[in-house]
Amino acid sequence: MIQPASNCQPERLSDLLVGTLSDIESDAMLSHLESCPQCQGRLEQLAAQGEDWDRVCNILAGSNSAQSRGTVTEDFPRQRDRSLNWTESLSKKLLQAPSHPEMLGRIGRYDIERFVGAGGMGIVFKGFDTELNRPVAIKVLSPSLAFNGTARQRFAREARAAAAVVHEHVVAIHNVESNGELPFLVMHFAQGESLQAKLDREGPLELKQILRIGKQIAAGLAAAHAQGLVHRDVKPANVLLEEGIDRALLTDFGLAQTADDASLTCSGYLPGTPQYMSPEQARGEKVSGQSDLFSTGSVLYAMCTGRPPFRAETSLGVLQKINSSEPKDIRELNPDVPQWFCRIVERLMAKRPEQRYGSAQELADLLEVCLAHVQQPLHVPLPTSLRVPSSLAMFGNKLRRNPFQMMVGVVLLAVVGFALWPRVQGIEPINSQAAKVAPPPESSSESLSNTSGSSVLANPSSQAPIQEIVEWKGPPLPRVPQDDIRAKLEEKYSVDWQGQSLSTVLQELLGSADIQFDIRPHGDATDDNKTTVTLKMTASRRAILRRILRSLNRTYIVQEGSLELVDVDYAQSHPTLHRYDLSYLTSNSNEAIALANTLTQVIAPDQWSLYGGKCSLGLFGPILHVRATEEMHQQIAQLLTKITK
Amino acid sequence: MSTSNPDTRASLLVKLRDSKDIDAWEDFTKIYTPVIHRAASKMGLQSADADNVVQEVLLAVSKSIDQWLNRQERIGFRPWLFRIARNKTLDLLTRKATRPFKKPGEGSSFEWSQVAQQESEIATHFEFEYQWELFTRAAAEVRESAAESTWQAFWLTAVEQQPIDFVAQKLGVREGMVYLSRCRIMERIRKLVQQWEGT
Repeated sequence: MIQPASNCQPERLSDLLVGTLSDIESDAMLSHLESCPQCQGRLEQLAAQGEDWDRVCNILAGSNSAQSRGTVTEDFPRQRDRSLNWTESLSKKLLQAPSHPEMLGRIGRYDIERFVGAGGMGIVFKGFDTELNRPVAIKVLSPSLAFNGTARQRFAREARAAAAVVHEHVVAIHNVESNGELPFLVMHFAQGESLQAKLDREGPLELKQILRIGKQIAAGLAAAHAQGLVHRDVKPANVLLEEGIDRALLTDFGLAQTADDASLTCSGYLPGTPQYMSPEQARGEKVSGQSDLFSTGSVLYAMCTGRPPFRAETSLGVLQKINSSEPKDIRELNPDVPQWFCRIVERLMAKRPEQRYGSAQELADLLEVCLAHVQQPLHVPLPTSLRVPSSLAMFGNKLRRNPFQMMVGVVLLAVVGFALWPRVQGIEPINSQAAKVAPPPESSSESLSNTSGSSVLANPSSQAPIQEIVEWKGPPLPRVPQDDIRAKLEEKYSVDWQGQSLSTVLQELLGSADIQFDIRPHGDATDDNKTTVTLKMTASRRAILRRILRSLNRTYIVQEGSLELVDVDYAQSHPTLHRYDLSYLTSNSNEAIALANTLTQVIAPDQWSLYGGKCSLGLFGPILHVRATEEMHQQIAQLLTKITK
Repeated sequence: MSTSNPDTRASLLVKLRDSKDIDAWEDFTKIYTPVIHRAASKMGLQSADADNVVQEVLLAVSKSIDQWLNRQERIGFRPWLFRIARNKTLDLLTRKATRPFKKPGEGSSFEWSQVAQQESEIATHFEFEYQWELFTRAAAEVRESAAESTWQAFWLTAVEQQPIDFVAQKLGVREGMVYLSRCRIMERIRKLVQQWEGT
């Protein structure tokens, strides 16, 4: 039976959709459908609401690249394949056919001569500008990123930002093409090699050369900083040394971001080599020009010694060292470097940004004078700031910056305190009991016992918990009569425990205005036992506050500058989450899982629970997730320490 | 990363009994894990921290299951699961986002409006990531089970917006078939999403 095409049968459309019609019937329906826009619309409505169509199609169109690979969302970050190893023949596929047989290909109006290399975000070619008749370097955005709107924007912004910096020690950007299928930027082609290549070949450099290159890097950075641009990736590979003339050029503002435009870089993208990163960058905090100064210090260090300051088996290990340990003394590795120069590097590599030099310009000026001094020691004296013996200067610095710490007698803890501040978000259990029980573990900064209290990537200053478990032995704490505190806090606590008044009380108690905090009800609305207080203050103040709160016997303190005030019963019954970094033990996730299993057998299973797949692979290695009571955590830490030994 | 590990699963099996609910949990973790992870990453958390947020949410949700079980009038497990997970995630992310406070000298009054703004931003991020995961996952699953030409009819016309007649010719089928195919795919995607969300 053949239905006339004009005959609409809306009620049968659903049969058509689910496929319950006979071949002949559906054939007729299809004929009708082809000529009847109304029924086409009806069918679409049956399948899904109009807004669902839009939503699905928009999302799928946006996920095009993932979809075409046929695998969706197996890995959470949507672009994982950026580590592809580019070769000349592979990179050639990105280009149009060459206009000349000797060339590799074409892109836009540029002839491409050869493949130079590949970086985090793109592929670099040597090309030739046929109109202006000059060689150029062309950086093409990696195809895996070209599909990604954020990456395209980032790339375009990188180019715009970098093009705005015109300076003799910054590689000039000639042109940006961001509309094509593969966005690219055109740069000055520097004939020569990177500082990295030079270090690989020659090892440590001469002092004069170090000063000259360092001064130029600092000058280039100063120009960028003046435009509000932070380089974020200063490292020897990004310093080009032009052949013949003694000129260093800073290149690859690949991750540069204008300070007021932070939004796009918040995608969790971790730039390549962490060896030259600053501590604040390693912690994923927002960075400023001070971060570039740290990296410059690391580059100076590398020029003095021929190797990066922080080295470890894994990237994670490097990040941890950046945060928690001092690099090996330069003069141990290269006795030719004068003490005063080591002082410059030390200051640049101070863990706290404010302890470094004030600006890249200040550094450039300083290095300039130093260079003059080295070239003409009789005519140009060394700057006075560099003539003080370093240890005394360091001591003086600490004293000046943190008199309070000295005052309350935490001198012995000063080193720990410094490593500890500032801190990052991470979850750490600190229990009031811990204060009485455990002595500070004697351990090197790499030993696993340190990871007991701190998770790793997020919280690389691994000594943190040590301070927690040092019992106070000094004279009574100043200006804090304990009974008063208890009474005061109890009173306010119960009366108005979510309001601003608690902060006022705390401020009074601690007698200081340099603490900022805010109090919010704990996020979990069902949980009346908790309130979250977020505080920002120095480590020494925190120690005092902790003591106060401990004496109230109803607190449970989470690091990272935030406190959770919790009833003590609740705290004791409430297991806390720890992440243990296992990357020191193994980089192999199977081994890590085996280790986790062993641990579960050692400790009675009803006393603790592992969760989250027991072991997850973090960015840099296996991480063991454990939720357990404080006591258990100590056992686990001891076990892990044993294993490492 | 497998978040639905044997331990969790075992305890859930005991609690939930109904195998449909177990499936719901598995579907839920499969979909939610990447969503939380990406939303957290977008806020600037590093990967390991984002992992942590994932753990926290899943743990919080699994703990709350008792509440659901003890309810007098229970709504379906799936819709409950997705609703509570959404709230927990937003709550956690918001707390993380609002942690860093003022600089010295800015006084001690706190801008709640700022938090509200951040919250809505986070909600937007989260919503986007959620929808993205839901639909791309559903689409991938539908594509697996559908004939390639059926899928192509949908993809080329609906997503790539190519003309019907052109696509029909390309695939070697009649135009009516292209209309039908793309609607079938769309319907399956929608149904799968509904099934996951339990609505």
